[in-house]
Amino acid sequence: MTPEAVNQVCFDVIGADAAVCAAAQAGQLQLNAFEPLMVHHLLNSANRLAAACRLLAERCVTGIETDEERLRALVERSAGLATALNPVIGYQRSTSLARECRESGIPVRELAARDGLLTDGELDELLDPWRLARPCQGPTT
Amino acid sequence: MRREERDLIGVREVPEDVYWGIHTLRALENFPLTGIPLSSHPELVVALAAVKEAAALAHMELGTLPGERAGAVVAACREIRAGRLHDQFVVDVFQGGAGTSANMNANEVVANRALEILGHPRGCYEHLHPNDDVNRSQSTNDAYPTAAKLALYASAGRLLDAMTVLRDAFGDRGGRFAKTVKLGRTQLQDAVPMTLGREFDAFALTVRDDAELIGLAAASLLEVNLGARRSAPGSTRTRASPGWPSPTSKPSHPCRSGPPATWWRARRASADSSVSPAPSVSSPYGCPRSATTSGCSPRAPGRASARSGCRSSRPGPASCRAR
Repeated sequence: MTPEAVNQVCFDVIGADAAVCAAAQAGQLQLNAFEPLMVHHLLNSANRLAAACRLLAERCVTGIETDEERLRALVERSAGLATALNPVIGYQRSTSLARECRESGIPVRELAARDGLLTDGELDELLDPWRLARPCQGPTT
Repeated sequence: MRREERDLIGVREVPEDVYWGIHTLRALENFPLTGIPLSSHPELVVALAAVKEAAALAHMELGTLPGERAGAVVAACREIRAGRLHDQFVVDVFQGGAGTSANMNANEVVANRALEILGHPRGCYEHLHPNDDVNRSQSTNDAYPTAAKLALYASAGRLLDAMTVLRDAFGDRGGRFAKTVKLGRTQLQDAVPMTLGREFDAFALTVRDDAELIGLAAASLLEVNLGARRSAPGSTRTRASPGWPSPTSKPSHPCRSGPPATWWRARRASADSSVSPAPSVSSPYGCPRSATTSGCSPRAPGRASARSGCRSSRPGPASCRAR
């Protein structure tokens, strides 16, 4: 719920920004007579944003943990993995795999192995999640 | 108990125990808009007092305000800057007149506290006057915007501190999740895998970049227009002294180090080189600095440049009407 509270501060600041813009553009000649509104909203907004930053940091971000198994499962079941096979089996076949994966729920890896498109060893390497997450760095050692 | 005060329009009674006066009373009646008093912005109250103090110090230096009066004004302002009398800043945050009511509220509170310090009852303005002495050589339209900028500068410093906390929190988790693989998501659909660490690091960078922009914007607040020049030199409202060298715009701000970094100039500087564009500054208002990778806001809080206020508490004649 913390992010929801922080969002409300953001919406508030966006509204204040609209008010400040209206006040700023209504200035005439040598004086803008609407400074009190600008100052009020700018001070409120800066202070509320500061409070929101601290709240988000302390009540939400600090110490947050992950469910690594679920993250890994989501990666392995994703049709998006077909992208990684693209350079080897070509666009046509990899998109077919992605489509079938989405329709059947069968992982891309299983489908590729079933069709005999790639060996287990090749699949291990191509679909290594760590390698996929860091494409520039090459395979893990 | 109430005391009588007088302005151009007439005579009014204000409660004996308040430090504000007739102009503030009129503002309370004229602008009952939000119910939010000026005191809800302590930064602004403190900044108004800082402006009044800077003006009095400049007058003291120039000999354009008797030393005793200037000293009392400085002492009163320092009390307000230390947090006292904030409940006396009662005018509505919204008001016509570009801040005149806020400025007069400040002038009256400072004047009445200074009168007490001098040993006079509140309201005895023949000894020290809200307009003639506290507001001397100022106009609402330089005093108020200057105070506003100082107040915002202080707020920006606190915001940058908070953003540093948030950035560090994201950065910490970014390190922790460096080897956690997750699916990227685009258009609400699965994309390619990435690490959760990169996601959190990106959040940290976003906060850092935004903080840098706030630091640049805050630096431009340091260009203030205090010094009795609004639009018309010699304007009767400014009561500028002859030969007036705009003193308060010269020495007042310990923050100032080098030319103001305007937005576009700072933007260009940051585009042209990797050198941090905003000048590094330090002030009693909790200065923001340009946010760099090492921290959004290393603040240097502290007192204003110390100039001893001549505090005097001579008993004086209580010649004012009070009832």
